[in-house]
Amino acid sequence: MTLTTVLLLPLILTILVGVLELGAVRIVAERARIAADIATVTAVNDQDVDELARSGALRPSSDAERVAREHFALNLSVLSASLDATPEAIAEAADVVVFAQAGQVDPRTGDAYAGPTVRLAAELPIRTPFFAALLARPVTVVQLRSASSAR
Amino acid sequence: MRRIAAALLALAVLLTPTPARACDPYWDWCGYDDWYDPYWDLPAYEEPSWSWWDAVVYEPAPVYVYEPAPVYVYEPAPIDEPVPAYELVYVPAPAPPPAPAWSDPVVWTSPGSDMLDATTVAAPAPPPITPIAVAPSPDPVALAAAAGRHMVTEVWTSDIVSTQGTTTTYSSTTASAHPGTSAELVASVATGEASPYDALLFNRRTSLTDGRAVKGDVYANYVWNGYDWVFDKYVFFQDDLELARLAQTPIPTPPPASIQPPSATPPPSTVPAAVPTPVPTASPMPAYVAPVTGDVPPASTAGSPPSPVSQPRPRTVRAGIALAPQADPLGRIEVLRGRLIPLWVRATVDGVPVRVTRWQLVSGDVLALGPVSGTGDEPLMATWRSIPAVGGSYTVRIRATVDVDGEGPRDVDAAIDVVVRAPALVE
Repeated sequence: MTLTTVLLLPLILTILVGVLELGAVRIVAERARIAADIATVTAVNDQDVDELARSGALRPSSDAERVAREHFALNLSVLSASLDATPEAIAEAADVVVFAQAGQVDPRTGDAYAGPTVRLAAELPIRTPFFAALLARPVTVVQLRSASSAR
Repeated sequence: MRRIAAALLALAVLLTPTPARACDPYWDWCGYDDWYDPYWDLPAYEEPSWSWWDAVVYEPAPVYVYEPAPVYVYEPAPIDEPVPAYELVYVPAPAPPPAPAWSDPVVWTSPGSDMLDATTVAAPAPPPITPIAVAPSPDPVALAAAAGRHMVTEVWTSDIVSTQGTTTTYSSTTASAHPGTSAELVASVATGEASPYDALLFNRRTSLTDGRAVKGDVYANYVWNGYDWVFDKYVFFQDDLELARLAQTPIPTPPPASIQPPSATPPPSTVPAAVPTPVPTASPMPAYVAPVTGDVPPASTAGSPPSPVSQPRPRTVRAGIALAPQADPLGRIEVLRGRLIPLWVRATVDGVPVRVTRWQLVSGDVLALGPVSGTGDEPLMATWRSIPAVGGSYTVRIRATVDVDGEGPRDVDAAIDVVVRAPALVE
């Protein structure tokens, strides 16, 4: 019995560490996805007043892209210890597109949005030290995508 | 070991043959089931059960009784409908006396005789059928005449407004038809006279160019429902004339040479009497009368002789809501929830912007963050904190007061549909 335990202990520890690391990556990815969602909601929650006075239609503000990037970086700041890059760098490298007109097609996804939409797509590098020891993969990249519209 | 022995003992007890199975039908009484014959049609019998797996229920064989199929005779159900009073009632003829039949009662020819008398016994006479007194069908024409109405032979089709020279005629066209209705003249209204039937008319009562209602007759139309005339609608037959205003100052125009001046003894001729007909001529004061609105004739017709007709037209006052002091009025806007939106009330008279002397919020599901009335220099600061249903909108109605030249202040409503949106995730 003791011999069996000793022989299986490395395998058990490997599996346990892998599960814990994978769970940690999932948690960080989910929090980053929430950060992206809040950033796009914040960006679309501003209206172009000139266009509103001219035509009465709702159009995102001209600085919606900047707002999305800034708030994405601010929301990622709480996760900076788990990220392999700075939140500002991640937000700067993110693909943020403002679709001002309804019915425009997103070239990344091919989806047509029913209303003015702010879309954010980013790659989130997450540090995975245990994966580095086990799989020689120190950084795991998670794809993020979020889109918000005023409905 | 004791447990195993107890389990084996219990199993042996359960598998022990029961007394019923040990019964020999040749020597022992084994119950009815051993000589049960299903053809005997015995009642249901349940064999005494001695163990839990012998609980079998025996049922008798089914008994088939062959009976002829019932024959259903369908007879018409009596229709319980009242007979209209104006219809003739069918009275059947009395049935002939029944022919002699064996079922009829027979009597002996005489008491104590052994011969039967086959003569029929006279059946009691049926009670005489008395015809029902039927009321005569009412005559709709007579009823209409008694009520002071006439049968309709001309029906209203449309209203016609035709202009011939300086005369504008308001008339109604009719078509010959016999719809079976009756009509009654209920009112003859004069030009500009308000009538209580104006709001009840089937067709609209038009107005003259100065806004007064036209003259005409109001007829009440009735339809026949089989026993009485019932009211249908009010129809207005317009019949009015309108003469355009001529020059303010009669222009002394010499009569044409071909027209003789009137004399005491005019010669018999087909030429009509001399009537001073205004002829537009080039004069310092044109015969054109500028309307009250101050409009000027267009430049393209400045060279042509102005028309002697001047019809006063009502001033068109419109109001709208803009979102900026210098923006155009909008009919529908999309705003974010909770945002402060200024609503500027704007008005035009005949397309020309005029100053709004006063406005007041009339209705609308809106949260006003300021006064709900003011002048045209002040907007209504509005916000919305609720979101309408999908596809719906809120309508804000503001009453604006403008000063119309020559008429004084006039109120006009401005409305705008507001679609309130809120950010949400798409994916």
